[in-house]
Amino acid sequence: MKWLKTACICVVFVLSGCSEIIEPSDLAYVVAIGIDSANRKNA
Amino acid sequence: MQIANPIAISGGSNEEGGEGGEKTISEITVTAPTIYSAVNIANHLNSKKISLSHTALIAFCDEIAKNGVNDFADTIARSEELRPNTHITVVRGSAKEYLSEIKPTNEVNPVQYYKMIYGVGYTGFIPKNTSQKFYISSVCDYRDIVLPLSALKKDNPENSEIMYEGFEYYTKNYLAGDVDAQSEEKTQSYGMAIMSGGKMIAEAGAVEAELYNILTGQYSQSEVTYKDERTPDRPVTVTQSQQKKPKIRVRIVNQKPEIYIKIFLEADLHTISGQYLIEEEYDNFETQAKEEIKTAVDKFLKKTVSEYQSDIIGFGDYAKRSFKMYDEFIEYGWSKRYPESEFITEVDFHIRRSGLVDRKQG
Repeated sequence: MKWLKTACICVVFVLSGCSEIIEPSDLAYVVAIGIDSANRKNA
Repeated sequence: MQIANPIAISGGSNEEGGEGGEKTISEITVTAPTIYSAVNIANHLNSKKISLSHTALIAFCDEIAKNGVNDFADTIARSEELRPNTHITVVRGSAKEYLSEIKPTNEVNPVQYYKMIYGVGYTGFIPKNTSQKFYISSVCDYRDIVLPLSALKKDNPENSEIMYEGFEYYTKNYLAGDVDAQSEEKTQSYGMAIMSGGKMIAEAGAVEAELYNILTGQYSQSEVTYKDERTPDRPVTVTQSQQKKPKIRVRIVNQKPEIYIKIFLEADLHTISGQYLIEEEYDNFETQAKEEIKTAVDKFLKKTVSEYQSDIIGFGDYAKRSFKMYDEFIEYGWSKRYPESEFITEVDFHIRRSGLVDRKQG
């Protein structure tokens, strides 16, 4: 049964890897920052 | 803030890929005293944590630039997120309106769009300064900086100065917003904002930005039009490149800076007057072009001392080598002495390739 246990662990590892790729990042990436004066509102 | 929409960029789980276009970005607008306080406010509006690590562009409105941007330079340098190659621009008008009109039509990734607009080597009409140089110029005593000018296209563009003197012959010295182009893109980047002591003091046109790039060695390649004295109605357009950075020496003579600069340029012929510019006459054209470049460079350098009074090229970096101690250089007061500078310019210009047509006389 030892070979079966090893095989199961491998499967779990692959699925875990896949889920990380599909799961979106926790970050929102800012592409550009625009800075206006207080009269025009900061962006 | 303009935020990337990764699902529209990559397509998420869709095998067909991303949609691209304007859906790749969304906007958050907040009022805050600093960049990071704005990030803090935006974090409460967005389900994900705001990260500046992929920020490609920081745009200042001209009003902020005229009041001074050194505080922002400090933020940019201290931040472990903002990268040293982040592009910085001054917008003629509102920065928010400028960013709102950005439509990355030919790019799927908006970061790539900004890199292509502000950082590529085959355009010469805007300076290529990034956040690292921006910060260094804000703290050093030997140079000022210029930033690219951006703007929304005006409905009624102002008439730009036309160059009649040879270099960029018949080309308009455009400022951003004044380019009368028909395009889906409503945003334009041409010319440069001249900074002195961290404040914007003047605007310079696209041709002057090209000369700036040549003098600083940032120039890579662009299409340049020259006047041919024998066919003034038929300008000659070459693909010009700078394979070697300019040679600069600064001496202090009678307490005045004497600046020697030699420029090295190469060109491939693209559009010539088919009537008679043949192989035997390349030397004549090279001599003419050298004179035309020299005239344009001399005029631009004179403007930096008389009108801008700002060492935007960074000659101070070479001048400080004339002093034994840095304290002596500080005591000399480079920024105040720069307007007294005298220039000796030399141009090395060679035609390298004639294109696929090469006619010989006879």
